[in-house]
Amino acid sequence: MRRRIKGERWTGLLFLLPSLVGVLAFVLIPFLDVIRRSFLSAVTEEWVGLKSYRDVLENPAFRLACWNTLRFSAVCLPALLGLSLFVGVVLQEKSRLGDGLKTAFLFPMAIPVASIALVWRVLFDKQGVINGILHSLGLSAIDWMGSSMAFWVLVGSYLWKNLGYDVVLWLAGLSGISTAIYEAARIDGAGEWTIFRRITLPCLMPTLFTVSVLSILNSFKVFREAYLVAGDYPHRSMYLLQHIFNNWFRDLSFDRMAAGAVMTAIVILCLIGLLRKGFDRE
Amino acid sequence: MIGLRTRKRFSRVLAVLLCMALLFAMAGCGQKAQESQPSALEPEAGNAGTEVTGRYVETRLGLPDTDGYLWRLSQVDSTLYLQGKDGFWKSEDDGQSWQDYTLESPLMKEMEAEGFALGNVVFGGDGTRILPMSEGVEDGELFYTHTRYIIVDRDGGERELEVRLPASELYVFSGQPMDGAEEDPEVYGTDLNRLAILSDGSLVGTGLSNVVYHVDQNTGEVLHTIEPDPQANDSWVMGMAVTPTTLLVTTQTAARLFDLETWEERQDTDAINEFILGGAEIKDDGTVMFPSGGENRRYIQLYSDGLEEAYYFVDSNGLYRYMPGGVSIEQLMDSTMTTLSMQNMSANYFIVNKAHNFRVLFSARGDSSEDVTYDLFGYDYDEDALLKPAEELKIYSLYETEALSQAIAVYQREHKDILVTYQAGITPDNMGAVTVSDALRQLNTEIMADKGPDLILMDNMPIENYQNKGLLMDVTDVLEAAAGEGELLRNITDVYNEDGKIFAVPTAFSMPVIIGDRAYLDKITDIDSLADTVEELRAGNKEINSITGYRLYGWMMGCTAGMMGPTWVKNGEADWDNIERYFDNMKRMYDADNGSGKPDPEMGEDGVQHLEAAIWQDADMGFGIILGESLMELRSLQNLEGIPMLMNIMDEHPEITYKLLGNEDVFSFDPMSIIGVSAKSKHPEEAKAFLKTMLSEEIQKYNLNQNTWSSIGLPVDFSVVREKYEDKLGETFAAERYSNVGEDFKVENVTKRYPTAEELEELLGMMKQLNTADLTQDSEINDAVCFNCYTYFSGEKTKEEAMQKAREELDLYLAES
Repeated sequence: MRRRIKGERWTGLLFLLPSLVGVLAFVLIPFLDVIRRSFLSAVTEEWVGLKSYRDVLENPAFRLACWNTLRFSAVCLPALLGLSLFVGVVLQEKSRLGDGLKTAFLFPMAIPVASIALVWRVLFDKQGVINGILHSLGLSAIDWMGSSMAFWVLVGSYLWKNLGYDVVLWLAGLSGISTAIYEAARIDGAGEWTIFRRITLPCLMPTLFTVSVLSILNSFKVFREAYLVAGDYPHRSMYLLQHIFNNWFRDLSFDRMAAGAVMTAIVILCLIGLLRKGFDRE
Repeated sequence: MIGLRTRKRFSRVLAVLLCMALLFAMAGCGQKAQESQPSALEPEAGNAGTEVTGRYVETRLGLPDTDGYLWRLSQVDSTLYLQGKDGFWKSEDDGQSWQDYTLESPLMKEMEAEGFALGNVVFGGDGTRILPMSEGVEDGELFYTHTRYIIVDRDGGERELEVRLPASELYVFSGQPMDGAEEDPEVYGTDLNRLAILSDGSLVGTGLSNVVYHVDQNTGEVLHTIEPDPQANDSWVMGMAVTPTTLLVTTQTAARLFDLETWEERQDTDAINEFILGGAEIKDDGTVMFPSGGENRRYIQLYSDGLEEAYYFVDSNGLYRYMPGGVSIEQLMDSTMTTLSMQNMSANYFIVNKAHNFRVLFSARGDSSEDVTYDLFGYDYDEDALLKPAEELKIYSLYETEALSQAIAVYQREHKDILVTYQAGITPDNMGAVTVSDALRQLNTEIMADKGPDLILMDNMPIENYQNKGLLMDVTDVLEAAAGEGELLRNITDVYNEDGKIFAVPTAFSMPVIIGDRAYLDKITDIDSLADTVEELRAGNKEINSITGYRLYGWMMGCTAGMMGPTWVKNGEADWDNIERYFDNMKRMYDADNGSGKPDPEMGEDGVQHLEAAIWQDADMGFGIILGESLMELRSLQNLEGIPMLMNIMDEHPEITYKLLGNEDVFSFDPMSIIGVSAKSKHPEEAKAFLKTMLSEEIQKYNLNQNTWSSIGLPVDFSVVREKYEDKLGETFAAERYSNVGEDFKVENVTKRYPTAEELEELLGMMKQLNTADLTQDSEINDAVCFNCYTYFSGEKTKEEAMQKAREELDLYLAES
């Protein structure tokens, strides 16, 4: 029996090995190198201890980027989770239309980033389509990308692009809830809101964890559109962590970049850890 | 049914196979990545594990002692002949040494006595020589050359050949046909160019009309003619040569091959046509754009000895061979590491000897068309010479630049044991797709992977950033050695120094100067007084087109940004008072300059707005003031081509002078061709040697002699400036001056003057006054201030909006550091 278990364990390890090697080679080992570099100077690789961490924490541009990134996440994530859940529940009800609409919601994810950046320019330029509409309505033009409105353009783009993805994830979770529970609840006289609050939401907790983590990770990808449209130095309100990392890379400040990346990774890991604990307790 | 144990065994085997497949796949990826990035260190395909040998090796040969022009290099058997303005020479040792050679020809002496002059002597493969003797003839308004031909055979026997070409050859340039010329048998053309002797002794050459004539060697009658291709883009014959069975005629864009038996044109010329075209694009309107970006292509020399069924070509890319009817052109030698690749050297003539080694006669133009020097180089095949040197010196620049080409060629010729490779981050091919930031990131990736360059041309790069990161090597020793050899401007070369160590060296520079009446030039000491003066002058001169010579302020900002740039950032923080001062003064000057009420300059077809008057170049310093189009000129002086014009203007108008444009006690300059040696270089001594080449007299002189359009910057070694003018201090010379005002294009004959010794010292004094590198290297600061300033003074934004935008961009950029 023991030999059988040991044999099964080996089999499992062998099946894991290809992916493990890949993750080690392309993710974990490079990250260990990043941690190493965060304690060394950029080019000469001399030991500097915690100097890079101090420089990063004292850097006003880094603090601005952190604040913007946090602000972006704090605004986008609840909005995305709430909106996508709402759409998912509606689509679940309308099963006949659901499949077609699901595809439509996924469509934004398939559009290349460069095309989205082009659309941004056409829509939000000072002489763009939206300002043209405003002008025709007798309103004054807005400098969308050169003012604090840039942040909301970014939020809108993120919601538009990722809504369908989260909807699909919610639908997968929703389809896992037995309809018998709903029928029993309706027989007992529960209303739609009560059903949603007492049955749907609790059953979606595992899905909520997955959707939250993935949404957090996707929120970092919005940098691509921001960079293509506004370059290295966008408006202050959309200056994110990736902007400063990108610029530090250009300036050979690998030490600071590594320190910043390590701190960001720690924060994200803590966040996911807290989420995990919270959902496990539930 | 498969048993449980069997299934488990199967699972284990499958798992092992998957692991092995993954490992092999990863190993295969690595191998492919290496193969896709060839380097000089890797053996050529098919020679894995061995060093490839066999290539042409360049050696410098001798030339006769003469100061005159050298016209033609020829060979008969193993003897070389060189013809020049001062005589004839021959070499029996393949060009190592030369002896005087006398053409024995009584007929030639007779004709010389009659006033005929000897032209290019043509040697046939069998030793026959053709001596064209020409005299100029003036017949009323018609001027033409009358040529008589002396044919001298191998044994010295000679006879005269009277060539009779159509009368139309006489008036190709005049365009005025003479009445009855075609019918009069006594009116005929005689001038044949690019003469060649066919294997049967007959002659072939081109007339002035670019028609090719085949002429009987006994009667002088035309046997065959080849008219220019009516459908060709150009008909100007650039080269012509013969083999025993074919005749090749080349123009700038095409090649035509003819069978000498039937005199029919052959169609199997795709390979040679493609080679001649060399990647050029023929537009719908017929103009040809060559890869160099202009309409003038590389010049190809053509040769055939008439005995071998092969044509040879030489250009700046190498040596080639074409077999008539072949499907490709064979490159025998790449010009890298040779004089062929040098920008200032032109291959005038070459021959291929029986061993298929080459002898190439080069000319190099100096300051003027009269100042030409010659060199003869031999290219001999050495089967033991390594195809590529084992070591590689990598040079990188952000933008593709000609500034390095000459230095690379000179360095390579003197260091044949190392291959110099040059890479630019942004080239004409990828411009628009690759930004400066992208290129810098790519460079940084390579540096961190230990695959970075040995030398970096740091123009438009954040030099101080690289310096602070320890990427650049201390090159003080190179400067100290170079300083002992010339007259280095140490205030320029030492500008990037820290604690007595120098990390990057500008090897050229430009400086802002202002030209105008000394009465108001004396009042200009900073940007405030400059703006005051511009406004005052506009108030007293309402009608004049422009005060500063600019209405296109993008160009104007190049001068004033250089002047004020060093004041914008201090100790890593923006100085907003000085930035605002710049904004205010630029607005004042822009309004004053555009205060004539004249319409905005029109957009030209080239997409650039043109001033009403000519856009003057450095060659025409002060010219705008003389034309009455402006009252002063602000310039970023980066070559001395315009100095003679300015000296002439100052002679004619003593109130006009010029001076350095500075801001109080800050006199900034634009450092150019800034060389940094990587601290990670695997060849530090070779890299430093390259820096020394950039500072050498040869390269500094080469930079100085570039004209406005190809300017590389002023030399940092003032001794080459002294040498340029030492034989002509204060001398005047005749020149032409071009201008167009409105629709009128004028060409005037003017007198220019070289500077005197005192004026040279004055110029040197200005150069020594320069004390700060401007901020043009840091494009982020420059863009943040200048672009937003432009939006303000052009009226696109209010001052508050423009300043706010500049503040946001600049503060963010500076906060990152």
